[in-house]
Amino acid sequence: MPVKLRVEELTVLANTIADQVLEFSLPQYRAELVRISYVDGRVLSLTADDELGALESILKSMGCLRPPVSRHLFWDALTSAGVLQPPNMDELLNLMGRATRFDPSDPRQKVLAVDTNVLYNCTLTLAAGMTRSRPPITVSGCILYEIAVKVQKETDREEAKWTRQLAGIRGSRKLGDELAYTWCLERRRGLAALREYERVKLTYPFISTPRRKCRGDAEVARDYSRLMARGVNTVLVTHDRQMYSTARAHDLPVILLKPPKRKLDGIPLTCIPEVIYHLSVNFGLVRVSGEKGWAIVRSAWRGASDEEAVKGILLVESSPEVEGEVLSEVEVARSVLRELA
Amino acid sequence: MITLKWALVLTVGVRPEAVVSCAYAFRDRFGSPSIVYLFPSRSSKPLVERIARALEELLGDVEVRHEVVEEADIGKASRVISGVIKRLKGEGFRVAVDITPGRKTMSIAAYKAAVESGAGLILYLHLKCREYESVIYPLIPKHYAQLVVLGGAGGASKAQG
Repeated sequence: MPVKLRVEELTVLANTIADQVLEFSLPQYRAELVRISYVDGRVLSLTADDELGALESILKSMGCLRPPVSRHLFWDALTSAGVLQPPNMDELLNLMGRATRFDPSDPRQKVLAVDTNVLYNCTLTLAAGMTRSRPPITVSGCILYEIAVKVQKETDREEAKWTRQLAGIRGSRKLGDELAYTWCLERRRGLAALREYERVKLTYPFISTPRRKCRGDAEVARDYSRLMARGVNTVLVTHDRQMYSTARAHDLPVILLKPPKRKLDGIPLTCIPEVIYHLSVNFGLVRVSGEKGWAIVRSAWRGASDEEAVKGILLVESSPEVEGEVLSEVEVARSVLRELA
Repeated sequence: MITLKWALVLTVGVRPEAVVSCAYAFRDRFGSPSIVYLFPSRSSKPLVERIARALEELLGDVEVRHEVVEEADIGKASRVISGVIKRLKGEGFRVAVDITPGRKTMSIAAYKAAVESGAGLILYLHLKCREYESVIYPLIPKHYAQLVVLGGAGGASKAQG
């Protein structure tokens, strides 16, 4: 029977199914992604680029203009999981340090303003693991409005059509049908961004600008410029070159985080739960397997609620040989944590 | 053949998760102990009640006892722990001492007591990643937490993982 797990509980799953090797794949398209050593996280084989590239080609040859499966989604998942980092991450960490210290030469309050992609890439959660600095963070109401719009759209007929067709040709028709009737990619990713928003609020001192109906880079830049005009020393953080230019045009100090190199030697074992989570968000579901069993992890399913999604709750269906052990270990761990709280 | 039941002796520091993790690792390798004997300091004593409840959830039918030790006085703490180990052996238990939690002085005291009173096992839960110091054992990737047998009358004479 499938069980709902929180992201951090996925370690129980990985510990139960794997001993030396952990594999990630997409059973809906019969595509292997990556095999790693569960001892030290070393990559043993990486087939994601080839497999996903082939799937993209199939979809394009069938006339699909916006493939719901792509190599980018794999690399994006690794970035959001904190496995890949922007090459100039140090710039952000230095800024965070400076924004936390009092500087007598510029006593104005320093605030880091974030762009939408910072929430999508979970950059601030990554940064929180790399520095103890916790500067104030501000998120524009425009960004939250933009995400809210994306999250409102439950399904996408085009995406569902191609997902079903591709799964029918390459992998599992049953899983393809299932994915076609659950939340679309935009909604799943939007909810993952809201999960990051909640984590940022818990980790950093937090300010938000009023939520209002607005969209686009210029509106976001204007929103943060208003903060500047009120005497708040605001620096925008973005992964987007276009937003960088827009911010410069508004005289807003800005840091552009460069895209990480698409090279993977290993996945730190500390990142495994987040990798499983983000792969399941970006592809709807992901299969994780080891020597002792396997599990299919879903980020969306019939009856799933927004609240569950924002909390990062996933639906996990394990193979019969490990199902009982996963369930009992998770239940015991939850009771133990309840008593320790 | 009579199988003796285990008594697990643990020092208690400021992180209750460390104590629970040691009990978890012990359960996975040697089975559930019948008694867990905790040695908190005066500052970690308030944690004992919560730890005991968590251990009951983890180990089921387990008796949790405790005795406060002076964390800065290695000799005195060691004598107290040694006395308990001898008493438990007298009650017919095989005694395992895990020296992982607590301040170094408490761990040294526990190690000294284990050696001097002939504990069956002396254990250390080696965490290979500091990020997991406040995380309970099942939420740590299995190769990042290794229960090391440092010695003991009934254990290995040499350290082993």
